[in-house]
Amino acid sequence: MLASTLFLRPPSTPLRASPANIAVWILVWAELTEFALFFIVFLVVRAHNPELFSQGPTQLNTQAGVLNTIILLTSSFCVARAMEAMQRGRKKSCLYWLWGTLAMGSAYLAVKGWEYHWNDAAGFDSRTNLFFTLYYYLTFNHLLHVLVGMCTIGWGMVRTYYGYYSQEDHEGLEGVACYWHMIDLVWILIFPLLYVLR
Amino acid sequence: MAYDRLGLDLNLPTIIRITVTLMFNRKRLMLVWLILLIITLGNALLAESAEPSSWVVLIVCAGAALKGKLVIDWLMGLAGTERAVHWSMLSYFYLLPPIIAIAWLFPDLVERLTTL
Repeated sequence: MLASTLFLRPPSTPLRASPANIAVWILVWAELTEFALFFIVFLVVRAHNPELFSQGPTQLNTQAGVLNTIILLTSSFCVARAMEAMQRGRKKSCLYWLWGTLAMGSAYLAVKGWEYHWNDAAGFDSRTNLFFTLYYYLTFNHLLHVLVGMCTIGWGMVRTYYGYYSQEDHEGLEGVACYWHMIDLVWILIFPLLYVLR
Repeated sequence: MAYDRLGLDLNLPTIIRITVTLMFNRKRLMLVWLILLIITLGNALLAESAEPSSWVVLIVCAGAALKGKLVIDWLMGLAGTERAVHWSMLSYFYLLPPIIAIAWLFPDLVERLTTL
């Protein structure tokens, strides 16, 4: 147990059932496929406009990108802790961690708002060039997913508060958690693509 | 008492084992979160300080793949679960970062393949 914890290896016990139900995983896969197509479009357009796309990231607010990455990773941590609390039957603790997730989601929206305002002040908008068109398309689409994720977290909180979930049966909450992690997974690829790689 | 209400027959060693497992779960989540933050900050530092090169592209893409695997395995909790969902999720991060790296390092090839 100690070895598997320290080296982050899966425990050598029989395979458990996956969290959430198959419908949630189909939705998660549909969303991931949608973003994968955007990434491929980004790579193709970049190949045809190398100069534009090597300058693009230098014109963005890297601090905002880093901050939002940290915020989203922290929000995923909060969701994981909320699920862990529910597995122990601690609904109050679960709700606190879900509040933390909502706070992180709000912080993400605030940073994104600041970043768009910063771009606007620097004279960049979605029509500036192809890089910025794709940047706004990808990031605004992701922002909409964060908003939907926040609504589902809120719904999960209401149901947790009214006792719809228990230590033994909380599949709905697992679905909510998986959707939120999907949003984080997408950002893990958006961040290097838009802000880091030159 | 809480365990009794669930109707589980728990003796002291089992309770200790469950407590230790949960304690490790929490520590593991914290460790994974810290590793994710370190990779993110490392990538950002690389972006700001290093000259663009093939090595930077490979390191950044490997970092993204590792972050994806950590989130899927430990924060999503898919490590040790049925392979169908687990591997379908992992395949996303085994495929896309290498595709991004190849497209970044060989833009001429991508241009040639996508020119009508």
